[in-house]
Amino acid sequence: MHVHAYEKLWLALAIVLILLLIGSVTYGAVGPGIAMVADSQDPVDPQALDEDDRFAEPRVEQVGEDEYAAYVEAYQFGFDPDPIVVPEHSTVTFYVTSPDVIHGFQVVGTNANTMVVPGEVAAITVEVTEPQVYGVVCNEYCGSAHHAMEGTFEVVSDEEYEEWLEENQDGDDTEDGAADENGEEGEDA
Amino acid sequence: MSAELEAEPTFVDKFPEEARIIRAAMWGSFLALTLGAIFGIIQTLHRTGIARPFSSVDYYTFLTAHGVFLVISFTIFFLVGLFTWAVVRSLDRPLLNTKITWTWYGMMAAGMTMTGVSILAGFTARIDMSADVLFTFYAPLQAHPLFYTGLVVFVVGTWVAGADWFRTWLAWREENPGERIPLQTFMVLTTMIMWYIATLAIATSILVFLLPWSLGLIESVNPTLTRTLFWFFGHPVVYFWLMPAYMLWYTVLPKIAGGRLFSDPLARVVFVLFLLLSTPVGIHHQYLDPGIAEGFKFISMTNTMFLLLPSLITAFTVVASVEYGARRRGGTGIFGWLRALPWRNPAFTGMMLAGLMFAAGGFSGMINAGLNINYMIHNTIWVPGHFHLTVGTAVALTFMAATYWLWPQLTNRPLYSPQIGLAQVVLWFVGMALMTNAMHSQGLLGVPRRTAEPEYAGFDYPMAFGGFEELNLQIAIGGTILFVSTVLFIANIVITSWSPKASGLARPLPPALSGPEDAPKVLDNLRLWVGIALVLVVLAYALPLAGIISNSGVFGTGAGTYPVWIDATTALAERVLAAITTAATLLVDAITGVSSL
Amino acid sequence: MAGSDTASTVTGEVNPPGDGEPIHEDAETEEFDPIGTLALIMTYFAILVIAWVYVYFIEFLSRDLTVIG
Repeated sequence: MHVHAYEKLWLALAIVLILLLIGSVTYGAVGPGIAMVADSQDPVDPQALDEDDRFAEPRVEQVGEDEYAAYVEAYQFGFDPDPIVVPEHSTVTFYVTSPDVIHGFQVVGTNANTMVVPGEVAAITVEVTEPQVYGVVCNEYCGSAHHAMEGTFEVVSDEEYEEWLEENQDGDDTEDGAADENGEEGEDA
Repeated sequence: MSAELEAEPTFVDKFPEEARIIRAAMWGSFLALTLGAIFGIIQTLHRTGIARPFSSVDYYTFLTAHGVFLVISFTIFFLVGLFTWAVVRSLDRPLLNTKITWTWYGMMAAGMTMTGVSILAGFTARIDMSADVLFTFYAPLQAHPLFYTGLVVFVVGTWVAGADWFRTWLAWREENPGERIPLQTFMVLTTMIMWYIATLAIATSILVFLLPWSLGLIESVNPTLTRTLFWFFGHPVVYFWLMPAYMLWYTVLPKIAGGRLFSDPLARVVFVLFLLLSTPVGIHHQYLDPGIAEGFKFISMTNTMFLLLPSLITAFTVVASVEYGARRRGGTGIFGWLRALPWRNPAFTGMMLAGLMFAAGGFSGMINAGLNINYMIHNTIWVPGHFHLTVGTAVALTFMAATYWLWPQLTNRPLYSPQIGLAQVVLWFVGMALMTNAMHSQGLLGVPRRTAEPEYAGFDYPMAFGGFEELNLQIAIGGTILFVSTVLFIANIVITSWSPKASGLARPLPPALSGPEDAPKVLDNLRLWVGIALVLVVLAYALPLAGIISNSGVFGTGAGTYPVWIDATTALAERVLAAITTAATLLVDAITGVSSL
Repeated sequence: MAGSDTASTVTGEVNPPGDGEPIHEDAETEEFDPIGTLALIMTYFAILVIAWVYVYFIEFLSRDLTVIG
C-alpha cells in the first residue's frame, strides 16, 4: 500500500499529538493529583435515604482538623443543605446523592463537578482557600423546574463559621433553617 | 434515455425507482430539519432571554423535539437516502427488491411518527402523553411508552435497511467474482456493521428495561446501567451521523474540486478504524459518573484519543484530494492554490466550510475526551457548542451542500438558485461561528447546558470573554442567522420541484489517484473486522457492566419512577401533579426573584 | 461512468470537468506532492498543540476547587 511521505509524516505527528493528550491527562492525575469521581462509595436505596447515616440529615460535619464532609441531597428541585457552609483553608469532601432522578452538582465556574445518580453516592474532595460565595447548579436536566435548582457553597472566615454554627445549632436537625425535611417540598428561596 | 448521445444518463434515468425512494427519505429528512430549526430558534431566543413567548416548562418539550428530530430523524433519514444512492451507484446495479426498501422506509417513518407524536403531545394538556426526557432519556425520568416503542420501530427499520444493502452487495459479488468492494459500498457496509453493534445496546436498554418499566411491568431500573447502555450506543451514533459526511468528503468533494480522491486504500483504513474504535469509547461520556471505576474511564479515554487518528488521516487525505483538483485547475504556491478552487459552487464551499468547522470541533472534542479536564466543561453549554460544530455543521452543512450537488441527479431538475445556495452555506458558517464560539465561552464560565433559564438568583457568573449577557446576545444572533439559513435551504429545494426538467445533469465520480488495487486485500475482509470489533467491545464493556450490576443489581437499588407524562388513571398522577405544582410555585418564585433584580 | 470506482485501473478514463470550470490537464498527475496540504495541516497541528497546552495547563489547572479525591 502506497502512502505518500507527507502523509506518513502527518501520521507520526498525529500519534505525537495523541500521546501529548494522554500524557497531559496523566500528568494532571499524578502531578496536581486530580482524582476522578468513581465507584468508591457503596450504593444506597434512593427511596430510603432517611435510614442512611449520611443522608438522613444532610449536613456539613467536621471529620478531622480542617477536614469537613458535606452530605448533600440533590432533589427535584433543590439542594439540601443550602447553603453549604465551610470554614476557609479546609479540605471538603462532598458526598452527593439523589432521592429521585439524575441530577448534576457543579460549583459554578470551578472544577468541582459531578453527576448525581439515584442509588449512587458521588464523592469528590476539594481544597478551599479564601472566603468566597460560590453558586451551585444542577447541570443535568431533571424535570420541568430544572432551571430553578440552585444553591450556594459558602467558604467563610473561621469567626463567621463559629457564628454560623451557633446560629444554626438551635434549629432541629438540618443546618439550613429554610429547607425542610422533605426533599420534594423543599423551598428554594 | 434518448439523450444518451449528448449527455450521460443521471442517476434517476438509470434507477428511477431507487431515486424515488431516495427522494422520499430525503424529504423526510428535510421535514425534520424544518421542525428542528423552528424549535431551535424558539429555544435560542428563550434561553438567552430575548423572547420567552412560551413557558420554561415547554422549553424542555422544545429541547427534546429539537434534539430528537435533528439528530435522529434529520440525520438518519438523509443517511439512508444517501447510502441507498451510494450502494446502487457504486455497484451500478439496482436494489434486489424495492418492496423491502419501501418496508424499511415505512418502518422508520412510522417509528419516528410515534416518537414525534409522543414528544409533541407534551404541548397540550388534553392528551395524557409527554416525553420531555430529552434525546438521552435518562431513567428514572420516564417517557410515555409510545416514545420508546417508536424508537425501537425506527431502529429496526434501519436494521432492515442495512440488510437490504448487504443483500444487494452479495448479489453484486456473485455477478462480479474477485472484484474489490467498490469504495462507497465499502463505506456503507463498514458503517452499518458499526451501527448493528452499537444499536444492540440501545435495543437491550429499551426492550429489557425502559419499555417494560414504562408499561408498569417492572418496578424499577438501574439508572447507571441504562445510562451506560445509552452511551454504548450514544458515542457510535455520532459516527453514524459523521460517516455519510466523510463518504461525501472522500468521494464527492474531490470531484467537485476538479480532482480525485488522493488514496482509496487510506479511505478504507479510516472506515475500518471507525468500525473498530467507535463503540469501546462510550464511557467517556460518563467520566463524572459515580458508580464506574476510574480505571475503566482511563481505558475509555485511551481508546477515544486513538479514535482521533482516522479523523486526522481524513483531514490530510481530503485536503490533499482538493489540492490535487486546485493544481489541475492551474493553482500554484504553498497557499495560493486555494484561490483556484470553485468557491462559487455552493456544494464545494458548503463542504469545505463544514470541514473547517469540524477542525475546530475536533479541538473542543479533545477537551471533552480528556479524562480530568472534563471536570471543567462537563454538562456546561461548552458541550452543545462542541456538537453544533460537529453534527450541527460538519454533518448538517455537508448534507445540505451535498443536496445541491445530488438533488438535480435525483430529479433531472437543475437547482433553482445556486446563488441562494452559496449565500445559505456561508450564512450557516457565520451563524454557527457566532453561536458556538459564545457557547464555548459561556461553558468556561460554568453556564450549564439543557436549562430554560441559565440566569440564577443566588449568584452571578464570573466575568470573562465579554460576560454572560454579551455572549447571550451572540448566541441569539447566531441562532437567528442559522434559522434564516435553514429557511433558504428548504425554500431552494422546494422551489426546485417546479424547475423545468433538463438533461446533462449527471456528475459521474472519478476513481482515486491511488486506487483499490493498491489496498491490501485484508481490508475487504469484513468478517475479520466484525470479529475484532466485537472483541474490543467486550474488552471495553464486560468489566464495567459487570461492576455496575454487581454494585447495584440489574434493576438497581430501588430508584423510583418519575414519569414526565400524566396518566390520570394511575396513582402516580397525584404525585406528578404535586411535583408540577411545586415546580410552578418555584417557577413563580424564580421569575419574581429574577424580575425584582 | 457512474460506478467507476469499481474499476481496477485508472488508465484511459476520462476526467470529467469540475462542474463546468476549465481544467488544466497538463498539471501534475501521479507524481503529485501535496505540499499545500502539508503546510495547512502543520498550521492546524501548531494551533492544536498551543490551544491544548493553554486550555489544559492554564485554563484548567489554575482553576478553583480542583478535585483531589
